Amino acid sequence: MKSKPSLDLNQFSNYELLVLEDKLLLQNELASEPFALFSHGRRVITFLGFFCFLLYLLALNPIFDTLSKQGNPLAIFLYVGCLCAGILSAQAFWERMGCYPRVMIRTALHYWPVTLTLIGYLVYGIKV
Amino acid sequence: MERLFQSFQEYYRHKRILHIKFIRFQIDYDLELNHAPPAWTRLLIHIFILASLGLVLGGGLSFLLSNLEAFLPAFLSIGIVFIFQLFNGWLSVEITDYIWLKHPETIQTVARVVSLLFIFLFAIALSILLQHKGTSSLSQYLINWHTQTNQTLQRNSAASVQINGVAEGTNWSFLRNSSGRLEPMIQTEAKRFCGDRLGNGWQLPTAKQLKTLHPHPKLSRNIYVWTINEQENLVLTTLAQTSNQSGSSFVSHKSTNFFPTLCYKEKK
Repeated sequence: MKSKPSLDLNQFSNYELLVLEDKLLLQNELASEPFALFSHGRRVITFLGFFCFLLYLLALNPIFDTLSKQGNPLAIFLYVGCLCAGILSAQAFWERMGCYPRVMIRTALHYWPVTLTLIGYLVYGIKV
Repeated sequence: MERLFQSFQEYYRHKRILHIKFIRFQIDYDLELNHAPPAWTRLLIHIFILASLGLVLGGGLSFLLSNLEAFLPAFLSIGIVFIFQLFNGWLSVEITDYIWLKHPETIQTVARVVSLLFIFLFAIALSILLQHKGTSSLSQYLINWHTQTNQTLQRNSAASVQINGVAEGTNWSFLRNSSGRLEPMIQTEAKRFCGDRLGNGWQLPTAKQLKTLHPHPKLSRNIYVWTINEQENLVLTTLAQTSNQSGSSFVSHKSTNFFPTLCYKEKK
């Protein structure tokens, strides 16, 4: 078993701890290996990836129409390309989002019962 | 108030350090999937705690509210429920986090036992479902499906053959069922029948050879699975299938003199 130099985390300031936690989680979330470590960022990346994929499909819709009318097999490669690009752009977006938005989104998802309650009461308040 | 805020800050700082240690343990030392508890266990623990807290605390709250309702305006009771729900959600997350971060190995072990238990229960349920007799059982459904498929296969196949009379030697008389109509077939045609359909080497079995066939244990009254007769070096097939698919195949016959589409070939 390889050993890492042990950090004295108690010496860290609150901000440094926040950044370190985010860095470690991001490293896990962007890895292509299926780590078992549970992290909400993975769900966000999956959702964002699907969203980007749909956006690309919509943007390339005229090209897809033309290709399918021609019966061109290039459409399959383009489709797979959209899928890959969607996932990659979601990862890039999540990576460049910044520490604080990431932490906020993770916290909101982590405390999902609280978030759901807040959303529920907000919707109720807006309706009333 | 300031003290409370400070203690909250301290609590979350401590928790963050614990979390970082947990992540570092997972990422640096423990890349193996089996060493981390699966994410579904976290959700299960969370829902269980959320429900228990809701029952215990919610029960107490509703009791209090029912007594105080006369004195409280409606919006105030809604506010109390709102604050209670926020508190309940927050507390359940904290308890789940505590269990999750402190006892990952225990959770892993329990999760394994529980998943094994589920697999075991599923297997028992499936076996009961398969053994169960009756029109609604799964086994009956499968048998019906096979019967239906075989009938469709034979109806669609132009190669369906009926033995007319008693099968003796190679001198059988056949009726060829093409396009839903039965046509008589002369002996030479009957002899060539399998070869024409499936290619060189395929022949109609003689009565002697047919006796050496071993029907598979009965699936239903009308369905048998004919298996390859290894002793006689014969490969059997139905004409509804191709020669490549020869070997064991489903043959359905409703009476003793009806062998729909049986052919054989000597093994090389």
